[in-house]
Amino acid sequence: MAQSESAMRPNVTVRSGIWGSIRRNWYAYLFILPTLLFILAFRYYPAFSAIFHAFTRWNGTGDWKWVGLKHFQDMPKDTILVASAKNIAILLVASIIKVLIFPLATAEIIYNLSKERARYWFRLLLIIPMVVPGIVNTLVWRFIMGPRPFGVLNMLLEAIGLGELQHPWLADPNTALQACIFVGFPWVGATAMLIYYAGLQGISESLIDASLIDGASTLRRIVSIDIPLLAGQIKLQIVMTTIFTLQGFGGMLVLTNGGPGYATMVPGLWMYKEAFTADHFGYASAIGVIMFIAMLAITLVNNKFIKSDVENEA
Amino acid sequence: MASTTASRPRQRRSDFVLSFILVCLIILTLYPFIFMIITSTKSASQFRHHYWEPVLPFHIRENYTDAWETIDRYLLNTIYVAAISVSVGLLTTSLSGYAFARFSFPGKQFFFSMIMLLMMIPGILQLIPNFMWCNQLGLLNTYWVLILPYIASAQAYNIYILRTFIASLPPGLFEAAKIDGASELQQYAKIAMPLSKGILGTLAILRFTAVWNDLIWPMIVTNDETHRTITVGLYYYRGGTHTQYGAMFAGYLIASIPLLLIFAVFMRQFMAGITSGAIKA
Repeated sequence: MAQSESAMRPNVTVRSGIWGSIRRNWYAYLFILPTLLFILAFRYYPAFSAIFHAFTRWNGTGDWKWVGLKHFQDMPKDTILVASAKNIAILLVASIIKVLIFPLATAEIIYNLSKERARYWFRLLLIIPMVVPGIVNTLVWRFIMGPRPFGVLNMLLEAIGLGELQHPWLADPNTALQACIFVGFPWVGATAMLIYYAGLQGISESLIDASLIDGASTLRRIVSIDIPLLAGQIKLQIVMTTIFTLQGFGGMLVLTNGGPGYATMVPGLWMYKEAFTADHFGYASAIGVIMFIAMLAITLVNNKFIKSDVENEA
Repeated sequence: MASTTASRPRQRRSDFVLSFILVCLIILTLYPFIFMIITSTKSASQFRHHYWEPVLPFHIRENYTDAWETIDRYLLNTIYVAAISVSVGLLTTSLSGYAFARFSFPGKQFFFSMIMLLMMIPGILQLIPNFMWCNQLGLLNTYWVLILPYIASAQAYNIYILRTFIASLPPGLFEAAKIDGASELQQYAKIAMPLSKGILGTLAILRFTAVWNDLIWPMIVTNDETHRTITVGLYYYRGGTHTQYGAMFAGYLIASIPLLLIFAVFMRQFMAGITSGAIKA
């Protein structure tokens, strides 16, 4: 149809082409309309609003006053913010190590069992913690690391005769951050483990058999075949962990509330406090913007750094 | 699968070692919860004098009723909010995922990029502005203020996964239906959706868990007891007047029951969805 139109009216072909296409596919826009409404209202508008208000002084009643770059200039002088940045860097490295090593090792161990029933049941047992709400997990760990006479860790040390190692783990500024990292021991995250396991299942048998014919030991197979082929899953876990850790603070709020003092403060929690207890909504938004930029930078670096098969196909 | 070309005695020995390691991991992982269950049966004085071992008589009735009386409202609130936001979320994202997989229309790439870009924007950026305008609209302390943002935050990830999945379905199925006179909506409802059960089940579990676990947003936007969610409730709950740990742990366990049920119902779809390998970068 467009062809004959072009013969008759050469100037307007392109425009009638697009509009015609829009009219023909009207239903497509209806399919995506609800999505667009939700994300415009609750994700795009707030994002722009946050970036805008980062340059304003904004109080709880919604009144704002333009202050330009003042908040960003104040940030390096904010010792608590700087301390929280150091903390989050440590926590990020720890989280990435935790999500790369333990779930992957566990997935490999299960994968190398010879009986399917064993593989199924071990996976099922390790998923059980997912059933417990995250806050329960955090609260239980706060209880575990609590002081005598109720903290499990301290009571355990006493029971096995190492009573002198007892410590107020979460209440001592020197050990608080390490205690936070210890939470979740032995760190076999259920989702990560399942995703790695699914990736392992996707490795073709012929590849494994070929490696065995070549005399490869299991360890060699893991290093040279499994891990490279799991690059997509590994990359996903790194990205998701980075995004989650950098902005997360619910766990810290429950575990230590940033304390003792500010020993376990993280940027997200500081932003929350600045906004909702100090009414510095503009400054808090500025913190949020900085966090956003940092996350963007790290994700881009990560994308460049690890090439996965999904991209190699493209 | 693990190859069977290894000789049998070596296989049995490696199985034994691997299983032993796994059993240790499982004990370490599950012990905090076992401790929680045992302690939830104890009264305050029982716990003070018998820290590790279970003690008769069990005080299950007192602890669990005490906990239930405190958190029942929160539990029901959270179930309500989660059920609605997850199902509406799946509806909207499956429609969009279907559209991006099956249609081509002007602006398709633009809209899709717009949605994918959201995965880069951290939720934390939206916290303050969403609070502000929900406040101005008088939406605080309602169910809507909880439900609507959860639907919005489900969009990017769900659409990404669903689009990939629906695009992988054989086009022939849809052609055949079209020839039989089915409209696009019918193709969506009668072909794409039934085939997507596995992936929809997986997404349902993931989203339900995410909503169930969310602490910060409910804490910011609700401060009355009527709309409080379970996470906020547990955060404030200390188990009676003077930290009765038995009742406190009982509360934690009660709060786990709905998730347990959801997992029990959707477990097969969940495992199938994750195993399909669709979830990767």
